[in-house]
Amino acid sequence: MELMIPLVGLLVVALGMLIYLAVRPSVTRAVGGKVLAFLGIFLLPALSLALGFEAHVERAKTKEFCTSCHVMEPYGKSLMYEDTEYLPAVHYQNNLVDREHACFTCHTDYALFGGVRAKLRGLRHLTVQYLGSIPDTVKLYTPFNNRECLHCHSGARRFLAEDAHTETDTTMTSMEANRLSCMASGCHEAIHDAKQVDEQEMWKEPTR
Amino acid sequence: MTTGRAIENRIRLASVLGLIGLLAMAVSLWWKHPLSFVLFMAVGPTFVLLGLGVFLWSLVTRSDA
Repeated sequence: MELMIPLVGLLVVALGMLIYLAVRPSVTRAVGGKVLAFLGIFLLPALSLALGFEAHVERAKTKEFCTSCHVMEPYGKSLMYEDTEYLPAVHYQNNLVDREHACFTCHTDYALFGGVRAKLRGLRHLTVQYLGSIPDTVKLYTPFNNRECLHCHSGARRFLAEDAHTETDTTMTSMEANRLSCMASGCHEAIHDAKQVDEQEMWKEPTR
Repeated sequence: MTTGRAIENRIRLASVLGLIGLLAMAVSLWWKHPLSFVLFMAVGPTFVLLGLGVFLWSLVTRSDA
């Protein structure tokens, strides 16, 4: 959001220059006019592109953006389930993730160029949404990587205090290597049961 | 070499293309829709680059350069 003010300023100045050039292209005969054209046609649009890209990427990380596709609405609503065992709701309602970036926090890749891969997946979602057919059950393209959970939980006191996480000498190694999924049966298997969204009781956040 | 009038027309065209590109970028910032990113990254830069291309073309063909 803090990028918006300089970006809007930049766009307004660039648009003003371009309108002036479109109305009076003869100014480019003089050196000053050439500089104006260079600024208006190349430099300011290039800067606008760089700042705008950053602003769009930041916006694409918000829950509001993720749930702006109709198909994702139930997944957004599922964060409000009145169920203390339901993993997404537990994370969201207890502020274990930043609420504004709740989807991105768990669904990005915590690896080199992970953010870029997340954006490319987003473009793939768009292709499916507008050019393909939306499946009845929305599934991840690849199995959820434990790395995304362990990014925050690994080494945390609450995580280590849970016996299941340190049950054997190899439990943690298996989780880190994705041989044992965090979402395995008997562990945290209740993930985004969005089909039930209309039947679920919702948590009503108390107003202050 | 191209005449002054023709060059000015190209600069006008370059400015209009740049305007369309920047307007597309500006609209994408207000449009809260998943396609806004595509509008920003595909439509905006395409017109800006076309405008830049026409501008450079006008520079290399102008006789008073």
